[in-house]
Amino acid sequence: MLFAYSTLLKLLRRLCIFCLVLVASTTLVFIMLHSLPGERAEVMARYIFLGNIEISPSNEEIQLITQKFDLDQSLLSQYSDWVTGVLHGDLGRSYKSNRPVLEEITLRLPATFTLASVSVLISLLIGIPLGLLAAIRQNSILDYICSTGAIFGISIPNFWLALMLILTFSIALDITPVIGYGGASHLILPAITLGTASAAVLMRLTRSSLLEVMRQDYIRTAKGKGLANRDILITHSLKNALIPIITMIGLEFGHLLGGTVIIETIFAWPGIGRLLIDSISARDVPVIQGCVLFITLMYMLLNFIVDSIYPMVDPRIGGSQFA
Amino acid sequence: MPRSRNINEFIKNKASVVGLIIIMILSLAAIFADFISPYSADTIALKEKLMPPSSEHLMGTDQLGRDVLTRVIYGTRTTFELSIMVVAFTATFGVLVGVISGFYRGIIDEILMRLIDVLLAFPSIILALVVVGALGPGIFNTVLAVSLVGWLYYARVARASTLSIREKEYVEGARAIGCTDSYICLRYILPNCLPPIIVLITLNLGSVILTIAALGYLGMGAQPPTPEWGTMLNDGKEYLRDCPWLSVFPGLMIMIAVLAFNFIGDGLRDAIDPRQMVIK
Amino acid sequence: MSLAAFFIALILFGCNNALADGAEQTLVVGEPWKMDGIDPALKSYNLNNFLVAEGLTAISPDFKIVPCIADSWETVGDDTWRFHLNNNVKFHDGSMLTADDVKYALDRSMEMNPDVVVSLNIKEINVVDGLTVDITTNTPDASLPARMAYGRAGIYKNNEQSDGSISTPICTGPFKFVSYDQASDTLVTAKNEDYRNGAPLLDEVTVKFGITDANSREMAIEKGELDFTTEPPMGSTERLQANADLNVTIHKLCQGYKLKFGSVAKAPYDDVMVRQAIAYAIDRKSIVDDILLGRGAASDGNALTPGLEWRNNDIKGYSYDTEKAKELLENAGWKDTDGDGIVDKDGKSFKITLYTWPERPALPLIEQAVQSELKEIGIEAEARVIDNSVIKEHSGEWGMIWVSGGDTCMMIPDPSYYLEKQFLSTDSTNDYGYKNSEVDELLLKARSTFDQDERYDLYKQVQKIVYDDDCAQVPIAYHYLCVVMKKDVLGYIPNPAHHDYCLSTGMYRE
Repeated sequence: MLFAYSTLLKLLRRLCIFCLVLVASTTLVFIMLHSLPGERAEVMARYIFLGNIEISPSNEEIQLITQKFDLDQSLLSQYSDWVTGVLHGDLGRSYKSNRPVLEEITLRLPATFTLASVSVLISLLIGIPLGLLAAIRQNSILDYICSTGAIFGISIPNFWLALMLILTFSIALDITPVIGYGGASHLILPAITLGTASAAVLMRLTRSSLLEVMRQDYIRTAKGKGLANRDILITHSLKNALIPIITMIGLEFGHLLGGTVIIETIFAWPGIGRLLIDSISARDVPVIQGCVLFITLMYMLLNFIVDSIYPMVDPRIGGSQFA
Repeated sequence: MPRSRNINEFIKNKASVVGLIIIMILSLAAIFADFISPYSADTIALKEKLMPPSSEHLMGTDQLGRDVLTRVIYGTRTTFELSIMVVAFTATFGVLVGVISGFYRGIIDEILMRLIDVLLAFPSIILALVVVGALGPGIFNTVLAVSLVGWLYYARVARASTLSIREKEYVEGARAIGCTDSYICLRYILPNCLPPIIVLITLNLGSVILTIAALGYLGMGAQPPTPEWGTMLNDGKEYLRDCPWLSVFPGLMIMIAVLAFNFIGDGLRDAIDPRQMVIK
Repeated sequence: MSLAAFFIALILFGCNNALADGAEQTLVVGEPWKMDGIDPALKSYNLNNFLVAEGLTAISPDFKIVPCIADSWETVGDDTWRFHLNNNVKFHDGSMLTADDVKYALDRSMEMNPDVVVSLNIKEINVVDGLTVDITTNTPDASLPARMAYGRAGIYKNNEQSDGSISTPICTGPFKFVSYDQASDTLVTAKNEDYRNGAPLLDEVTVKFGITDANSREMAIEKGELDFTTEPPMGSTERLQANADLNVTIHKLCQGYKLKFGSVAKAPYDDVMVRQAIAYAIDRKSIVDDILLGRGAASDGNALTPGLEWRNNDIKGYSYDTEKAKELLENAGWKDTDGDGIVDKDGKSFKITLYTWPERPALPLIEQAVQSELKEIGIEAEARVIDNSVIKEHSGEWGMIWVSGGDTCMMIPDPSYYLEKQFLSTDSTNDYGYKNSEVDELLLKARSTFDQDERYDLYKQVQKIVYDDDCAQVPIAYHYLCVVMKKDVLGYIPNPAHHDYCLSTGMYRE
């Protein structure tokens, strides 16, 4: 009971600081993007009305748009409007399409979520088993290959890897399709590209974490007690090694979200990362803010999930059996 | 900490040595680019455009007739300059903040801890993109953008080291005899921070190079005709299938540089203290 | 008897099967730009390109304004044009088009889209009778019939939803709207069997918008995911031409590349000799051969596309002459007095910045080529590649030059469109300070001169002044469109009068 109370308090405190950071970062982003009415009208002209980003809209047109959409507001009133809106769940409208930002984002969430999840899955399926093997057979050839491969994995620029994979699998071997968003065949190349770096990180972490745990005294004691190697490994070492691994998965999901920005552009994947890049180049301020807000919120959710898994894994925190 | 033991362990790690050699070669290339480059990096020679690798142009020529090898060499200089600038700024600032925070604790420390937890998890590339998007592309803005989140890593490590040292007897002793805070920090705390910070610097350099290249690839980095590997990859995209050398070589260079720093960083970490879990 | 019947049946059966065995008449188009929406008030330009929407008039491949929904038109008084509508225009839902529909569509488009207001210059629309509509312009305007061929003046039926938007446009073209998917920006159209000029041959056209990456488009068509696309990567023309499954066409468009001075009202470009010097410094042929790699042609000094009836073909233009350029600079007072390779005057070095944007792959390359060519004549230029809408903010910088692409002279198929926007001092797009009262007079007169020959002659005079005498801007090259189709896609007739490409009704699969 006391334990639950203290965790709750901790969570609440985290929440408060988190909100503070959220407010600070969005305000900063807002100011940075210094929304001037002329600029918003310019974006609307090029993307919605004129439909051509290379032709300059005339001043007359800009004036008409400014009047029509009442864009002549001060920075402060725009900001307060936005904040009020957010608190009511309204993130404003995209300059580029005039559709609600929330709609633009939710339209693309499934795509990014699918891509990120599959990438994490791939990285788990590759990284953890390899890390395990490398740790068990430390200093063997297998270990050497895995470790070197992992270092390559974290060193390779993911946009370059994407291009090379496309050249090999889409063009030369004609296995995967090139454009679009569809089923598994469209998903596999982007997911592999994103999953590689994460798999490498997880592999290294699993290996070192496991090695560390295996060195611990209590493991030696268990060995001394005569338990079979396999039992020791599975029931004791892995569970304890899992904690940093879980933290890392949480962090990797985050890096993955960052990685999707470039990968989605290369593979024409209609996700949030691509939305962000497109809106940055179009200076579509509400969408940029909306994306930043959303991604930060996704973070919070993730950290929360990771925090709640801990008690189940760490015998010292929760109530799980430590045989 | 017995230095000789660490250096020995480091040398035993073959990968680290290889990494060190690579970085030394690249650094020399960057410094002496003017002397070793066969051609000029930005002289346009349109009639010699898009030539595949040959004995005259070991890495071929690009879409404006410039020698790719030369641009790759000068690109080393650009990349190293940018990453060193970023790391110098973030490391200095981060260590300062981390030491102060860890030394004085209290409310500042609390806020910093939360800030670090939250912001470190946030994908830094996105923040960098927003900054460059708002301020416009260019070298200075790129450095600024990448530095914005980078310093947090250093702050966290410096803080951890500070915490572990401040309770030691000799620090208390020094305080007892009246040493000022700044003296204690400089004389005892800072040197203790150095080993993990050095490891972090080497690993961080790799990641900074990747971020800078990524920004360059998205067209938000160095402006033409400045040679930078990521920007060169972006330029080469249009000719990917017909002139793959424009994309293969710069990408390879990025990988080699990052690999080298990772090898060194790993070796240093294993040699100094494997328990210092420095993240990426 | 029964044997004959049997054979006849066999033949008929065979014929039917042969038809069934024929190619499927569908087409999948990969479009580089996004459409991102479907309301015809905003998007009828795209609907027009894909033959769904039509306007009162249309522009033919030889640059003539031809009847479309309207059969004929004439002036009524100074400022009104009367359009007589074709009596057989059917909407895609079967209903006949009347003058009320024309008024509805144009009024709504003007209300929702400020660009249409500015482009059409319409004061009011009056329905005279079921097939006659009067359009009154703000000022006497000889260009109105041409403006009705503008893609955004498309006519559609009133099928608004409760919130006033239209999500299933009903238009009059050879293809009818079937569906539009917002998330993937994909439009599906089908053959309009009742099209008054005969149904098209294709049964269904799917347009995938927003495939912005040139490599993706190219790989998609090579693998068969697309049947028709444009602008493959710059270096790939030869390889695609060698591909036996594909047909590559390179054709003229009304677009080009040019240099535009940030300001010609102040130093250093207020001196015509400096402008001319820069015009002489550009090696246009090399840019076309080595950067555009054949997808273009060098400009003769007139940005208007060759073939336009109102084009002045006697413009002298500027050849590639570095010596002449240096001479002109010297005469303007710019000499290299301190030996640093950069010319200077009164203590100020000629150091400038070139600006361009990344979406068009040739632009950053042309920018760098221009940078190097300017260096030859002693001008040091920094090259920047930034977002187009931001470049405007830099236009006040000393010596700033835009390296411009996609410069379209026929977005609205009338000479007034380009010449006024670029050279009329009172036009709000003219933001670089060009003012020549003779040009102003000619342009304003031409806009209200209803005799075509006289009108075109006035425009030719304008061209002579702005290009040869004043060197107000520096045209570099015309942009040609590279179209890639599957080998069995036939019947595509390029219509260079469009800013982009548009499909042809005669297209079919073999």
